[in-house]
Amino acid sequence: MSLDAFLKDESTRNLRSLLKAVILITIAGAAVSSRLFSVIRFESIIHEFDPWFNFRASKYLVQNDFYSFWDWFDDRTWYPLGRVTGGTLYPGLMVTSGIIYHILRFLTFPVDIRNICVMLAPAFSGLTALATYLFTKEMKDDAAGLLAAAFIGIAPGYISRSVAGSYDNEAIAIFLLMFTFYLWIKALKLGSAFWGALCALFYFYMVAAWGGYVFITNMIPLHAFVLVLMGRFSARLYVAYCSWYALGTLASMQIPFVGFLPIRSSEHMAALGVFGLLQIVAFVDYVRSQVPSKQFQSLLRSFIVVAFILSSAALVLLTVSGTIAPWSGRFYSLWDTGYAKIHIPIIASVSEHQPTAWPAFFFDLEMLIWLFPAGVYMCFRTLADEHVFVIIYGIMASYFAGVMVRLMLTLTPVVCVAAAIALSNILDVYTNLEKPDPAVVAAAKAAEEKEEKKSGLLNAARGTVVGIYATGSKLTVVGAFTFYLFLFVLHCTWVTSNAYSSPSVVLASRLPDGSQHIIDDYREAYYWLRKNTPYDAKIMSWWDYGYQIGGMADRTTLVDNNTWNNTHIATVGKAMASREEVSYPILRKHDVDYVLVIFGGLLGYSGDDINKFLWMIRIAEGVWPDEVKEREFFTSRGEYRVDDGATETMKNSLMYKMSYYNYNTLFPAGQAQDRVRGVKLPAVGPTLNTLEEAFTSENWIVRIYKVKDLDNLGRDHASAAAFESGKKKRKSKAGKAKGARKLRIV
Amino acid sequence: MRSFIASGALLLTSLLTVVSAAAPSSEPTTKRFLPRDFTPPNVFKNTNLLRSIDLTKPYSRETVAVIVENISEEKQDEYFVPFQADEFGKVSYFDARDKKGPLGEFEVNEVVLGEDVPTQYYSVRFSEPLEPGKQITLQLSIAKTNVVRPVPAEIEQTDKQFLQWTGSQYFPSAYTTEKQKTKLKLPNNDTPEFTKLEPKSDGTSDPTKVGSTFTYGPYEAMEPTVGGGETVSIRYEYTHPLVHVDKLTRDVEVSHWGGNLAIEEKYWMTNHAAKLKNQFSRVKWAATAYYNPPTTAIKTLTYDLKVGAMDPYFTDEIGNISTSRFRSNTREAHLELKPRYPLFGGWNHFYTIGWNHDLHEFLRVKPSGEDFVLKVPFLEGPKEPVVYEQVEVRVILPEGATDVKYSAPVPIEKEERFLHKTFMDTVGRTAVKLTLSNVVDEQHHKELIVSYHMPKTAILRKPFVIFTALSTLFVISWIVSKIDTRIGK
Repeated sequence: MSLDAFLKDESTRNLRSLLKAVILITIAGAAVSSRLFSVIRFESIIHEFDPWFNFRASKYLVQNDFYSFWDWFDDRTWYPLGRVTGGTLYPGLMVTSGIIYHILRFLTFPVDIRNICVMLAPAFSGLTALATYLFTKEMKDDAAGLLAAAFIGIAPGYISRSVAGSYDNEAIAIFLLMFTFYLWIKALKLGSAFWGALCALFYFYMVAAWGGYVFITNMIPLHAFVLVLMGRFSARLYVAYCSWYALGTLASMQIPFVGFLPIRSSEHMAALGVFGLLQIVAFVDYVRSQVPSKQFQSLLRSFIVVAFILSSAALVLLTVSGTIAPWSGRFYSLWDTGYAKIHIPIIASVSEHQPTAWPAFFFDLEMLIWLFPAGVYMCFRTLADEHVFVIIYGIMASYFAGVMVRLMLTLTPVVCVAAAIALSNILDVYTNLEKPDPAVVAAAKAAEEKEEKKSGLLNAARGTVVGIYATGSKLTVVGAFTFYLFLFVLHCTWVTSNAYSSPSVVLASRLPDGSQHIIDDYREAYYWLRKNTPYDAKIMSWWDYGYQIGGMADRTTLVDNNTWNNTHIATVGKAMASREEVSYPILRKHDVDYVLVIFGGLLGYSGDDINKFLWMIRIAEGVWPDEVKEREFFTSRGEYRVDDGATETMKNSLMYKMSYYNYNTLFPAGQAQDRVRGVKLPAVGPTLNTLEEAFTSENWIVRIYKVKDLDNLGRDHASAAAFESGKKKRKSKAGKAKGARKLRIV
Repeated sequence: MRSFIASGALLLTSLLTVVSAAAPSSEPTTKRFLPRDFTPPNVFKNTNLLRSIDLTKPYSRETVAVIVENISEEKQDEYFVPFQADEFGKVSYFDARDKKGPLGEFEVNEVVLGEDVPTQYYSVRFSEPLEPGKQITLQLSIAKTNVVRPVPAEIEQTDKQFLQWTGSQYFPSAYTTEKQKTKLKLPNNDTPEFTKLEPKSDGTSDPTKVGSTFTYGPYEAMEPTVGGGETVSIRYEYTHPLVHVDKLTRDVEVSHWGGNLAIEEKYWMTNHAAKLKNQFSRVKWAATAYYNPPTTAIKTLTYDLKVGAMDPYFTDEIGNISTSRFRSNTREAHLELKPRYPLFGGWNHFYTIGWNHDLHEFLRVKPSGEDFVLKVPFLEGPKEPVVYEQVEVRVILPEGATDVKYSAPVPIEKEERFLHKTFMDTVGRTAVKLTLSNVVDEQHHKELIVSYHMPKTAILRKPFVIFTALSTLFVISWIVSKIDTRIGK
């Protein structure tokens, strides 16, 4: 058969590799271009929140040298604490873009670091496709590899984290994850210390790039452990694992943020344990080869079990005694989805840490999600060492993806691999052009007829010719899958275009004539801050906007998205949730010059601070249960209201006042509407005494308030404001009732 | 084969010579150095002098028409105009021409006496010396910046703004003046305050006001004066922004390969209008948006670019500013910019704008094919009145351009030549940086002419370099792939 000759023959090998290269380049091109929606629709801009920090750090890296980046103490965040940024970040992403920047500069391309940062994720998605190809090729063959590369290139589950402008650690981490796994499989298959060392090298890169490296740290040992339990211990496994573990661990300890964690934290103990186990198994194996015995097998088994129990006990003991750090909170929330909500509201407050809703699986993976089990089944059929890996990876990643939305990202590659294996198997069977030899068929038919005469039963399995040779069934199946594949592409493009391509810094709306109108309030306000406030002004806002203020407004913030200090965040929460008299001293003590709130009431922008307010209250309550109480923000009927029926605590809270201050003057008397919550607001708007409105963006999304200085005559602001508006000094009942609530100014 | 190598070598050497020939050329200075104790010789008499000061823009434009008579025995060709040292620094431009005669523009030089000398001069050199006893009508055009300031310095967001102009009663002159008067043209007749001088001999008040014009004088038989008599100030309504550009950099980049002229401008802008007494109120701003009253805030900036401008962009440090509009057709190229937020008094903004042109409309090739003349606008600012504190114009010519000469429409303070490296340049592009300060928008749309020589071989440098680099890369990778690194076989 000529096609078969072309596909298998040695003489066309070069042509085939050229074809493969072209296909891979096309896949990479498709992967990159499907991530460019936001650049085309909006502009080359950094998206969302965390990428702004990464971008700022990258800028710092290219403006200064590597060592000052390493030693970077950032006094412009977490005021007044500051942050040892160089030692508390994963530098892989920034260093990658820094190197690309310097190479391009060396070649005298005047490229802006921003554009490198924006385009990094799409560029690496092309590499991810390549790594997935290599990985899947090890599992089955080239065809499956190409399919997997095509899948990962456009799967929304991965695109969600890697569109242009989504300059986050995940942008390069998924490539590193897949490549490290590929190298591990390669090392395991060949038993090669060279590949093991390469695997360690990329593991190091992964450690430098993303906190999710722990996934690799546990996946590889788990794979090794399962192989040992399956009785598949071999010299190959020993060499691959030991060279990876020894080199990789030493290398990973070079990252300051990781430091001694690999030998001190629970997350890394599995790797260490398996390392020890392998030594024992190898020793025992050696002994057995010297001393053959029938009882040895059972002895070995029991020995392993005992060793496992002992080392686990030692681990628990060390954890209890404090030598080994216990599992971190984020890790616990992986096992118990309700854990974070009770113990660490700050983790629960992040939407991407929520458990995944089941439609999300279909939304992010479409047809791959039903091909995935089939692929895993195919792995069971062959079940070589590397297939065990895919199975374990599939099981673990499915569980994690179910627990946390963002971990859909780690599931996507294995789903693509498994689906590609399944689909490639189907295509192998159904696109086989071979026809059975007529002679054999005739013989079989004759034999069958004989059988039939004998028994009168029709049994296809008894025939000697098994396979699918009917053109009709071939066409049906292949046609159906071609249709599914087209649908998949359509779905991926649609999801990418509609769900994952909004920078969230810039909002788009449509004018009545259908043309695009850009709502650019965030940048308007941030740029106003950048240009019209002193360089050392301190801005207080909820932590979500910390990175953006640092990146776009270039001003000092109190808290930001690196939520390392819960108390500090709670302080901000308390200032937002308390009455002015309580908040003002907090603001003064923290040298706050401006307070920034996000308000969506005018435009109907639902991601605003009033909707996030409950989390501020909860986090503050976690630290000051006596001063901030969530219950007081709900009406007696348990409703969260902002209209006339809002509780006094709600109406007096700084957040409420800042959101609605002066808002009613925009409407005819008594007609003020909050379009997010769909309620009519009280006729009389809140008064603010200790803050003054400094800037409000065009659509009121960002409102900035200036903290007033102390009164010149030493009065408190309320009475100063009352005096100025010509009111008599009234004896405040509230003031009397609370008696001791005086301004506490230090 | 041999000839091929020879021509390659020739190409290389010619490339090298181009590099070494990129030496600077010089430009005549507009400064004149004189001894510190210099006083102008008393050789002229101003028979009649009319000074008109136009204050309709936020800087002053003086037009002085003066009939000058040579009262000495000899021919004279240099007329001096004195300034007090602090006034001297405010002068943006100083032009002189023969108003009635055929002589046209005269050469004007700054006279440099030293830093701390209280009186400084401009000298006007007649292109034809003035015969004794003869007269000439000179027209001096002077623009001065920093002569107005908002009073009060802080206003409410919707208030009217008033500017106060401060100047002198007479035109400062180094010669006796027989008769002179000063006319002030204001943007409107809302003038709450102005300096009232002693009534004139005929009993009429000084100044006299007709509509929006104030006239001080006429005064007769004045001795030479530098200070210009009494200080006069007027406060008048001017509810418009005072656009002040602290720094402007303008890059004009010529690409022969792309046939493209790229222009990029960066503005560090401040509004020098009265500051807000209270903080900015979005409610008031939104409320007034409907009937669009005059305001001191910078809302829009409009640029009339040269016809044929393409692909404009408007960005700042944090990305694209989405509020711009561009209308381009065969008659106009109209760019309308809206800053991210309205710029009130004291507020700052920074932005970058840029656009492209077809190079053929700006570049002439001399018959030799190796000499080029580039004619581009020296400045293209917004239509709104603007004062530039510092301007840097950089002209970036193609790699290998030599013998760069230019003629600027305005006096240049500093000129720098350097090599600008970009887009795979090996030696860098020849570039000239012209710096000047205190420029007003009157200077927009004047032409800068740059001529340069570029051998035909220079244009082949880049493909040659890229070809060489890629071939080297391929050869190296081929050699590397042939090396056997296996340890055991």
